[in-house]
Amino acid sequence: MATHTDVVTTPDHAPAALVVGEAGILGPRPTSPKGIWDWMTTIDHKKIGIMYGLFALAFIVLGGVEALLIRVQLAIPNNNFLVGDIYNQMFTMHGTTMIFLGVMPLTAAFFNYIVPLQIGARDVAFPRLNAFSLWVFVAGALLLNLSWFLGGAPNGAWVGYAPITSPQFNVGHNSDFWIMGLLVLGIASVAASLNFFTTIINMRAPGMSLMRMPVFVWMTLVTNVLILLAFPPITIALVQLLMDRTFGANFFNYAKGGMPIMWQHWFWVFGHPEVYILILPPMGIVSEILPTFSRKPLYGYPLIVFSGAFIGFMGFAVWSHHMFTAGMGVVAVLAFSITTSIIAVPTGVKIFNWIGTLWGGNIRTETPMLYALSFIAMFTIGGFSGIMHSAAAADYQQHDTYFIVAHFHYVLIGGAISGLLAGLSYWFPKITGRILNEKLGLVAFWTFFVGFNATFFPMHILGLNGMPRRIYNYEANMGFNFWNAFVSVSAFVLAFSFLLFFINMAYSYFKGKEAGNDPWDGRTLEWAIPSPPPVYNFEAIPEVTHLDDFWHKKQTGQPMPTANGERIHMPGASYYPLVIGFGMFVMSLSSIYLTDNMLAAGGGAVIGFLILLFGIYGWALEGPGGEMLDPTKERGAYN
Amino acid sequence: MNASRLIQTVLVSAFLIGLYFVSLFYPGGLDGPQSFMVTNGPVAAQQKTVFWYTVGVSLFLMVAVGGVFLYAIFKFRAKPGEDFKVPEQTHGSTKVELALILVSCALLLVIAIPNAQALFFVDKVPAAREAEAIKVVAIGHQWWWEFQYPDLGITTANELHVPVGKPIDVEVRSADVLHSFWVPRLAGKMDAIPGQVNKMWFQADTPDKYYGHCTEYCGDSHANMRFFVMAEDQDTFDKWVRNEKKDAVKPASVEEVNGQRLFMQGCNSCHAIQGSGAMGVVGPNLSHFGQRTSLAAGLFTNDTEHLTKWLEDPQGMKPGNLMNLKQVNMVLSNSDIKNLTAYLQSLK
Repeated sequence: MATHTDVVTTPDHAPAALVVGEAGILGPRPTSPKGIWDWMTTIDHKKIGIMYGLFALAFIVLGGVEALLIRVQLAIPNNNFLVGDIYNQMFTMHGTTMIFLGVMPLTAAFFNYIVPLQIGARDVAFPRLNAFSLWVFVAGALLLNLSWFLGGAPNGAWVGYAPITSPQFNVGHNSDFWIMGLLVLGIASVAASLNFFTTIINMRAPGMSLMRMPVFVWMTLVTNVLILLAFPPITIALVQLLMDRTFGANFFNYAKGGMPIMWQHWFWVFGHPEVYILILPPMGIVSEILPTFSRKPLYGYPLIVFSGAFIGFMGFAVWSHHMFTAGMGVVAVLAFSITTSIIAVPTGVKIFNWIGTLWGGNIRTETPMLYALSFIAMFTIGGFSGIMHSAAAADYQQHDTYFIVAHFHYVLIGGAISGLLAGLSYWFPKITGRILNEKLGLVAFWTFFVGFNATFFPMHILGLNGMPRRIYNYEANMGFNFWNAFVSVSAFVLAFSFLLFFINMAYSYFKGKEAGNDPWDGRTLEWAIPSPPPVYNFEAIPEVTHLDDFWHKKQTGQPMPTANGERIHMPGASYYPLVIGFGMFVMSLSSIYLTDNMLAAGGGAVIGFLILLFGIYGWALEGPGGEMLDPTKERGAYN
Repeated sequence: MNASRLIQTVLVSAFLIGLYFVSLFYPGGLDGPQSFMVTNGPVAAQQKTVFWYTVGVSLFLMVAVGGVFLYAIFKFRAKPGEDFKVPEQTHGSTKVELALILVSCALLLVIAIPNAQALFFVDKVPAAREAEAIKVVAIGHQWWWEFQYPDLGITTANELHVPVGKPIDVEVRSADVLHSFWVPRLAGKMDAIPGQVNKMWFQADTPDKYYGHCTEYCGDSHANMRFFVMAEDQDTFDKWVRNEKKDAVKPASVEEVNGQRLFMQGCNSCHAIQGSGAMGVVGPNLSHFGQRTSLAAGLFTNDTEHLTKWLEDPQGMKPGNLMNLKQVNMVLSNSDIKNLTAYLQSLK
């Protein structure tokens, strides 16, 4: 384990940083690499967080472009822009990209950057494992998107329902890229979840009991437990499908005794917790922003925490509500209908408590708060349509129509993305040292709010009027024309709002107002340290005595502890997470072609595996490395 | 109270309410041929009733919660110059929380009871009416529907004829991948899953042509997998049944005879025509094709123009479909197409 933060008292004449030069069998770890190598080998949670964030935003742009292409095709009836298979590839990759390469890594960016700061830690529990998660994620993301250039992207919808993905009905490698991509991404997610779980349990500052943790940390904890429990089922299903496709097994082949419906159960035992994996972190973010901008503690903190945990728990008890029309029988349908509607209660509790936080507060409405308020409003509307499908008898009609499309975009864009943009606006000053331009931020927010509602509200109407999902054309006499055209135009307004947000980020990064440590008068520990934070985060680890400890310290005039000349050991960079990511990429890419040429593809896979193995051994045997830093001499160096 | 804030709040609310109401009441928005807001028969009606319960509860919550939310934002906004004033630090109230949780649970019961009743009602044909039910087996294929009437000995495709006022007892099956049988005005959907027999029922009360669409993603031409339910009065239906039971009419004109000869040289390996010796089961049964109103699974009107285009380029008309003439090296000349068209149209 590399994250020792051992403290050694140093003599006054020592330099600011002392390199720990112990070499392992495979030589010493890289010290202070520069430029691109700094980013490629870093194990600093903040740099990894920034990279997660930038990759995620890039993939959100890509998924957004895919969405716009879909909207161009649907703008008029019987359009010929994207017909048949290519349209199917487009919506499959739109969903897969947004969920696995957009929203999940963007939440991971916040876990990485913010959680250690909020719990008063110097890094995550396993910094190299953290870098490993990042590079394996990048490998999986590249693999998925390489499919566009290697014969066609996945085309089995993001749910990949058997047997449309089975070899009998899906020739070519489209689905193989999907299987391999998701398997690799799953490894990244599970490794990250172990890391964050361990970090939150073990690395909290002294005095920070569980019930003194910021809600964002709580939601991170719940989310990572969900990831840990939800990814095994999808992994099993993917491996079964892989066996079917590559080695002629028959898990989902009815003709040979397989069972297609099993795929749906496997998938949704993962898939439903997955949607809470996407929404709980933004709920945590909003629960940080509301108290800060209302200048009041979170109303009903324990209830918000427990309802979050309860939502996570119930997430595993409702998967079959995605399968109400799969012929499970009326008793099973009723049971899952009831468990689903029960989730409305803890969700409602959260909303009530957020409003309770606003009540009696002194509310400032800068952009982070506007996105947070938009989260509450839009997520609530998505919740109402959720109640509408929880009533299974009504869902028999709504299932797989645009009514569902409207619902999950309300919770995923109006909800998750609103919350994540709130988080980006809120923590941008901490990450870059500069505040996002407020005027441009306001324009971006209102464009987002109007564009989002104008894009997705009419989809409810299209759904009620009988427009099915995943269709690339429709007749002019169906009554779908006007709202499809309206939605397509609005989608570009929504896309424009993202462009404005990104322009604002770029502009403010260079020209924004200096933030200082604590631009929002924050309540949690990350606001106590410089922006951007030094590599070791805290000069001295604070003692936590209250919920919202930093706010309490400010209100009672207690200073944060400062360095006293003790040195802090920060672990060194490492090449091996990157090496492992590369090995995994080579191995999984080669495996896709096993059915074409067993020898060549198998050879490639073995080479990839050997690179991976080398990475693992190098990782285990490299020296501890790192630097001994003296904060008193470092002050200012990182600002 | 600050006028510009009031204006902002009003503007945002007006935008949302305006958008939502215009969407809901825009003419033609909710009464398309596939709308499940305009229903026929008891099954879809029950499902719509449950939907309205959920809408009622949601609207109540939306007005109550949304109202408090907007009021709070408006009322408690920081006054100019008081951005950093610290209000009273309250942490919550167990009584308020408990009350809200109990109210939420009660509201859920308002939905749960009609939902449970409707679920049992739409699950299967009511026992008292089983005797009069017409049994139908709907088999999903990529990308069309096969309809069998096991008690009547009829097989047809893409246009399901039913008598009005009778419960239709449907077994939904699949021949390949997942599909879903959905006629929104008549009933919610039921998935077709290979190796599984799923049951649903519906009843049409008014004669009409009801639109259906496959609603489980099934590949390239999922968008083109449509069908119709032709609800007719009992006499028309009986007449249709009698005609369906007969063998296909024999070709009369020269064109039709040539068309049949051509049909038997390739088309017959996938399509059946009763009494002609063509017994293929891969594609739709064409015994009474001339009677159908639509072509290629509800995609086009069944007329000379579209049938000609279809025979010229089935892949262009419906991407990915199994009728791939190039693949089986079938080359049709213009006169072949004319003859085939004449023959197929004669199959009344």
